Amino acid sequence: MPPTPEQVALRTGVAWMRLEHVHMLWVSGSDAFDLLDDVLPAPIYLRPGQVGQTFLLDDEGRPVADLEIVAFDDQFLLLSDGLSAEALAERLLDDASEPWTVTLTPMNDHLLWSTHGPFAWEVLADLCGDATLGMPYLSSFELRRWEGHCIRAGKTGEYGYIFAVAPTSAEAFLAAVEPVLARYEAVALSQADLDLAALEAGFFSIRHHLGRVPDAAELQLLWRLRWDRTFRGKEALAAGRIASGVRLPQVVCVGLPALAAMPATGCPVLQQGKKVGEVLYATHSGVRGHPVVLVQLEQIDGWPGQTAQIDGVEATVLQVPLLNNRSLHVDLQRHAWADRDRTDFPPLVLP
Amino acid sequence: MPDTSSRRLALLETVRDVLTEHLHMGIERDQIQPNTPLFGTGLGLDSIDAVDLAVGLERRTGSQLPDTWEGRAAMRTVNTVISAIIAMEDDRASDS
Repeated sequence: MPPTPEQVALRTGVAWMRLEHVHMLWVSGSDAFDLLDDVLPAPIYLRPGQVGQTFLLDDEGRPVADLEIVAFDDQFLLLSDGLSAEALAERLLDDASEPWTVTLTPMNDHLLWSTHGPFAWEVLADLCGDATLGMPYLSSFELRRWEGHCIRAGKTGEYGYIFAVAPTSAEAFLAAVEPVLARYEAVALSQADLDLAALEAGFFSIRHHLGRVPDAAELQLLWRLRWDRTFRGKEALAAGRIASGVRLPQVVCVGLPALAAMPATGCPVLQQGKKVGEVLYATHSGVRGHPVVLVQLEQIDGWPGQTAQIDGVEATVLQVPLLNNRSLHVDLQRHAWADRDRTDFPPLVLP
Repeated sequence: MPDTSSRRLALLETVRDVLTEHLHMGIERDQIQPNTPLFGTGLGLDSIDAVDLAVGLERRTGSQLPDTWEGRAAMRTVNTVISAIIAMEDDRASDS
């Protein structure tokens, strides 16, 4: 199955999407920092304009919300994938150790719009000016033409920019965006496209684990927390298998032959006839040209190149990220969308 | 030559050594896991850290990550660094 036009645009040009699955919560008040510092698993010592990433865990140490924290002077904007703004607010207050003085404001009326791709930075330049191109990954700035903010973030492995726009500016923003997208032949992404891109880039997505959610250690997400902090789910994590120190890859991505059938969630993973794991999630990577499957392994390691059997076909553990993202090789000084087909970029898939 | 798993585990420890001792990252070793991203999100290294990491790894393994697109691709996660070092070691072994 060849890559779809959406996948091609995302990996070689410009794509866009309204992030209706991401929810915004504004945290303000004199104790805004204290509340987040109290509850979140990672420190939030962010300068104004910086963006941090963390998550919220359940009592079993499994992620329930993927969070991006945008810092302002003494207020914060939280972008939540997994919990609604209202549920996130309730969770923050439930987990707080003190009755902090905060105001939690769901921003469901705001537009959350994003653009992604190795040349998405040209969209940013057209909308906000060349001076914005220097913004580093995980940073934000206040929009001038519209009421809102631009955040450089994303989970595709490509250049990615999220625009959080106030309802009063949404119509004008979308009107300005339309001709820019046409200029770059930008293609609209679905949530499935974005989730596949996240998987290919090695990012955690709650929707990859609808049946059974592994804990943060199994997902190799421990870098998103600090053990010297107190947070929900910490005890379960600490009591788990990570206690032994070195932890081998447990949730890994494997590739199947191009024509293999898509395995079902729960399908056993075998090695020499013995069950060593099970399928969590399977999809098709059009850019790689074969099914890719998240599997949870038990008792064996999952280093790249290792093999097992799923549904009678050989499955090979892949190295994450699954793609040699073009954004890694695009130089803003030398490359441009208009020359994208004339430039000799490295291959998107490495052997 | 040790099996792949042993080599990878040994190199994982080497990468952890370099990140915690050479780069002085204030992070516990078990937070540095095979698929942990090195830049941006993840460990949040910057371009100067990248040079320090490459130098530290070269000192400890004798493998120099190339200053090419292959080198950039190799520096994405702990695991991609490990794979690149193993490939260079295997190349050297086959040449000798």
